[in-house]
Amino acid sequence: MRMSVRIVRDSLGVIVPLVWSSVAIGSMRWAWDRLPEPMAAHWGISGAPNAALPRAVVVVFLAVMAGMSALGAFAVTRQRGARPREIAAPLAMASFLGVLAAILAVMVVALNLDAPSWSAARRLTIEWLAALIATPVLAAAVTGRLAALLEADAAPVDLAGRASIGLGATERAIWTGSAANPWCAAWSIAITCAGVAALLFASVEVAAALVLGGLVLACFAVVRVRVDGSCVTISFGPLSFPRQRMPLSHILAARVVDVWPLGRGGWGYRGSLLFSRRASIVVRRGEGIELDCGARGTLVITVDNPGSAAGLINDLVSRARRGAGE
Amino acid sequence: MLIRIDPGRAEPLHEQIAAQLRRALGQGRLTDGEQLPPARQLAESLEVNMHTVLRAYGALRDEGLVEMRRGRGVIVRGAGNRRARLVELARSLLAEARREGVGLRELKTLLEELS
Repeated sequence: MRMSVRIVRDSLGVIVPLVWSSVAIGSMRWAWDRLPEPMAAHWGISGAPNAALPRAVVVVFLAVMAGMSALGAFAVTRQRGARPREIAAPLAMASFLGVLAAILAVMVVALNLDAPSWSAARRLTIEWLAALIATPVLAAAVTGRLAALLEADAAPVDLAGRASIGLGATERAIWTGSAANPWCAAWSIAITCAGVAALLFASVEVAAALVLGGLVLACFAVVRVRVDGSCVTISFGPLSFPRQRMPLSHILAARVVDVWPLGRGGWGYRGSLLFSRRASIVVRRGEGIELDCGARGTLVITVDNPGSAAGLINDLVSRARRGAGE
Repeated sequence: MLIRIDPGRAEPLHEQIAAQLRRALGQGRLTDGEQLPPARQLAESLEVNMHTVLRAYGALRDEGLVEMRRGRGVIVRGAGNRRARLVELARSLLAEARREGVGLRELKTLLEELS
């Protein structure tokens, strides 16, 4: 990554959150003595204030909100090897939260300023409401766009062309691989055990929810991938159930990718081929395989040593296409 | 792990499968305690008879490279890794010698001379 890109990326994570945090806290500090105690903190549909909180609580609330987003933005940009396009989504999210904290602070200060008591605070107008929604959305969009623009400047990942293992015309092959996350396995066991314990100490509903949560987590403790002449099969959990199949006829190409969980929306099954044409099965950070399914979308699966899998898929796909006379 | 076989080659399919697994073991691509795909699944994927796969697994078991347990599938035995590589090397040496018209006795003498 170029130096200038790194500087801009890092400042996105440090300077920008600093700005919105100081707007949030600074506006409260500036107006401290001119705010009623307690101050109006909630407004009804009619626009009149209907709930109050001590000033200190409002400050702490805003500080936590701004701090969380600043910390998130900082952590995101400090990830080693994180690519701008991948950090675009989490950075936009952090921007949204941080700018929301800043605009909230400005708004409660403006509405409470010089009011004799909280109930005499100004009414929440439609303009304020619009600003409250539009500003964070705009901030998120700008941050996301900026991060995506930086991507154009960053070095491309994979120009090595289509991976291949040189599969012969009569050859048959199978590839199996997996990716595991021991933390996920440990959590799954712990939560399932907590669910069983909940049967004794809490209600059946709580127990059922915990056990279900534990079982869902178990599905992402290990994910196995199998490639053969007919399809790519992805199976979840220690029992290899449930399974997802992607017929080779749906796949155009495969390539190795470096998966960075936050850039894919987190761990687990993210996105949807049906609705967003982009899905990721993320068990851990690191190597994975990307299946380009054309109009059907893109499916990314984290899996260890995916090099020969990508090669095999590409070879099988091009053989099938040659066979079909394309 | 990648297993590729070619029905067009003279070498029997079960030997091709066993050789692929031996190579994976020798190169450390298969590690201690790892489970091999169930024979039925492998047979389906490679479009061969299940007995062909079982024969390959059986050969590896006889060489002490894997363990077959009822209900637990086929498990790699770590100690076998170095041996697997040797066995595979010896096989290719034998095949090469045969192609060159060198008999087993002659090969033995050659090895003795070298050691």
